[in-house]
Amino acid sequence: MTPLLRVEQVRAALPGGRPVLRGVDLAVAAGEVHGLVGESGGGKTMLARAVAGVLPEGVRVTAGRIGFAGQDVLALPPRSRRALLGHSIAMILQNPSAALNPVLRVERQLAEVLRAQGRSRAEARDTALDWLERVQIRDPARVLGQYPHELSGGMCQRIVIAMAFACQPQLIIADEPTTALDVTVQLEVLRLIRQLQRESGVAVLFVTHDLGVVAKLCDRMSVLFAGRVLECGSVAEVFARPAHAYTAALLAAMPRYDEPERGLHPVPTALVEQLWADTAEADRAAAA
Amino acid sequence: MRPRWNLPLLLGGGGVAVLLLVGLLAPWLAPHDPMEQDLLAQNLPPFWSAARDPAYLLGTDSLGRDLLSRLIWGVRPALLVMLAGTSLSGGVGMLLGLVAGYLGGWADALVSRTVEVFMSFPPMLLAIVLAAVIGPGLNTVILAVALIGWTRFARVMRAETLKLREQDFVLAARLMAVGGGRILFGEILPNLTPIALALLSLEMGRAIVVEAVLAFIGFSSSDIPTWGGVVADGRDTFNQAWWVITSGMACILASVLLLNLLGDGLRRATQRGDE
Amino acid sequence: MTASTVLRRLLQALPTLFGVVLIIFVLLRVVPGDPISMMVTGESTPDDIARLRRAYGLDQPIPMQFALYLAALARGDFGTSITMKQDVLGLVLQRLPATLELALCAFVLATTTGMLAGLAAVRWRRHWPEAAVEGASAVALAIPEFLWALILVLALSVALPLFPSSGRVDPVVATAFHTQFYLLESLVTLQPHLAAELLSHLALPALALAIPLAAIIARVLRTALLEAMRQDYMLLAQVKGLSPNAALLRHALPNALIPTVTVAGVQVVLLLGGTVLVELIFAYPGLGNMLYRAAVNRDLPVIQGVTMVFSVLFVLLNLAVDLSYALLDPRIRQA
Ligand SMILES: Nc1ncnc2c1ncn2[C@@H]1O[C@H](COP(=O)(O)OP(=O)(O)O)[C@@H](O)[C@H]1O
Ligand SMILES: [Mg+2]
Repeated sequence: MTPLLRVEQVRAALPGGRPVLRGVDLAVAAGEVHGLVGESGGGKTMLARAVAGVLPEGVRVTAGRIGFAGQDVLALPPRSRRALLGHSIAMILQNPSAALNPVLRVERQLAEVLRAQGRSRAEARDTALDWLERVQIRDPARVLGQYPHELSGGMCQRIVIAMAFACQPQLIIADEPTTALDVTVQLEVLRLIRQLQRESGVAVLFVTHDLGVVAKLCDRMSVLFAGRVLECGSVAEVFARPAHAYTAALLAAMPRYDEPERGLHPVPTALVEQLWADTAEADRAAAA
Repeated sequence: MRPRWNLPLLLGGGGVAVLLLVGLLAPWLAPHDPMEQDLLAQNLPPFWSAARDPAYLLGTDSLGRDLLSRLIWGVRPALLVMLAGTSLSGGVGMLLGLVAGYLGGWADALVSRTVEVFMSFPPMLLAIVLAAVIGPGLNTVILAVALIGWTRFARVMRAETLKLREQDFVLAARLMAVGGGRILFGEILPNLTPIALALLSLEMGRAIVVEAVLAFIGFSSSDIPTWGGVVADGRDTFNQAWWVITSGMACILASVLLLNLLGDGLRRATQRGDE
Repeated sequence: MTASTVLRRLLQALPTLFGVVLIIFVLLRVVPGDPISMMVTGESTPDDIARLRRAYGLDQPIPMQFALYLAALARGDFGTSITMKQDVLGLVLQRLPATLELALCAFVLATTTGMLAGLAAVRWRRHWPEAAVEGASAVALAIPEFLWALILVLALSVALPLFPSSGRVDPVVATAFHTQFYLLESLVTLQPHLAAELLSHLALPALALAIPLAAIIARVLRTALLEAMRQDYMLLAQVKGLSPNAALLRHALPNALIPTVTVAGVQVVLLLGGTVLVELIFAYPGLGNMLYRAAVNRDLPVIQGVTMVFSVLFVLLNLAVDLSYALLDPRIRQA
């Protein structure tokens, strides 16, 4: 069976020509929760946005193939590519307070998604209320009439999550959806995503730099470093037998509350530097 | 990477210098008496036309006066209003703005309120009211420029002084119990020079326009040639002598653009000094 | 935004209006001699003059005169025009609609062209529309309004006789109107030929007034839209599947309008003030022309009246600009 999302040897370059994705391979099956981990600056967000087709201006995919539901999306005309968004693919962003439009009421922003599904105005309001309840927002009728600045970060993220799931997509890309939240809220939001995912059976590409989250939430995982996937496999397998030294170091660096005597083992700087040096060498070789 | 030459400053400064020279040397540069009418030489075209008269390089207006001489003499009132008007508005406005920003409290409230009141008159209305009260003439124009412009100086200087007042070197001077006047004139004023210069040249451009407008509507002196007067004369005879009004407009536009260029150049030059 | 906020802002404007009245009063006293010297003719006797002085309260001490003046203003008594021998308030109110229609037309023209230009520059950025909008607004702002007005007259009225260069309406037609709001009346009573006639007269003066405002709106809106496009909510709008046009209009524009109104608001006030000059150049029979005529004739009561009306309009306009921020920005509205 072909996976829902298949990323093959995808390369992308920043405006100056600097590579940011250096041949990424990734596969996410339908209904799977796939963790994408890696240090910050490694290109996780770029990969997520490349998949959704919403790269920042000037950043472009230079090589490779992105297959989604049997289509080669890079070959699609812009209009058809956009048609996937909000219907087959949805996205949850890192900073919920910035992701909501500050001058529009929650109702309008949520209804925009529902109206795109072909619902009438009245239906959209009812469905919006329904979704706010499903993401465990108290007093949803009041929240619908509020502006983002009146809501906490956690509330905003719940609304963004509601928008994503309300699209009833096949794939949700969640780019560090809890990083900007308070620790207590993080846990609630993670549980919420897990629960909604189980109910709907949607596939999730879950971007994070927190292996603990991957352990709790994900079925399979990929480790991204400098725009390349170093290792990929089921979470249990990778955690038990990391194949790459970098993965092993990441795992060792995880804070373990069950074994506090282990202490902290940060990822060795020498290893990271070696990996970057190799990458730079490969870049030069590719350029020559 | 910045170019080594500050082109706006060179062009603007050079242009304004030329204007000053033309104004000073007007009696020697002008080929004719600008007021002298020659009813046999009305509406003569400029030098590139076949029907030209070589004695009148840019042609003549409907009263047969030499256009070039009128434009050259017109530099004088423009410069006079520009320099005197902005000295007045800049002097008063900057002083009040500095005092308001530095002292704060009731002084600030008084100045800010006064600025507000003056800004609730349309600028042209102030000029016209002034002309009605003290009669037309160059003095009226200069006063009008001052009345219209001082609020902008005051507002900018007040805001800048407020910003500076809280900065380290001013606080340090205060801690050392340096007197208020010394802080204001020794520490704050030098830091405001760049912005004051840029503001002055912008305001000079505005002064030229105010002078032209008041001359155009007949509220400047009628005994001397002015650019606004040339424009007003040429407006009714555009079909017979289009060069009269267009040359007047060109003089106004060119000097405004030069002054704006100078302002840009000054801003750029002083910013470079900051870095 | 509540009525009490509006009321509070109006009350805050009262000291400014008081200052305006004070300045007008002082300017009046600066007049060599006093207002009477302009009313008397050669054959007035000293007795006549004394009677006039008493009638105008000029024999009172200055503070008393100011108090009397304030009291008269409060009653709506702006005095009597010296040259027209009519109640000043009535004269001014009769001319006000012409100026308001001119300013309003210019405002509508400027906001629509400015907004369309700003939006086009962003929608097609890095293509010719952006360069064109940038270039046009730079030129529009470099040339002073006075020269724009003259350029328009020379180009579109004298050289190419497309529009009339002066007046508001053909005097014969003017008798057909019942109010002074000619344009409004012709639109409400569905008389398109009259409206067209009025608009052809309004075209050039309104354009002259609109050019700087349109240029500023286009510029600020473009910058503000580009800033908005960098925000996460625009990414989310894209991810929702919105088309670039819908994202621009529904998500970026409402945000970009806030800084645009902040910057352009000042310019709107200048537009109203600019009517004085533009009315003179186009011989448009509004307040500006009335003021000019009064200045030439030194008709001080009319000058006072026009000045007062303009100051009140300025205060109201500034209030409207302030209120519009609150309307656009929920974060201010609820603060
Ligand atoms: N909008 C952008 N334009 C250009 N470069 C960017 C942009 N955003 C991020 N980058 C660069 O792309 C690289 C990868 O960033 P990102 O994908 O955000 O990493 P991660 O999400 O893994 O932290 C970084 O080096 C970053 O500097
Ligand atoms: Mg990221």
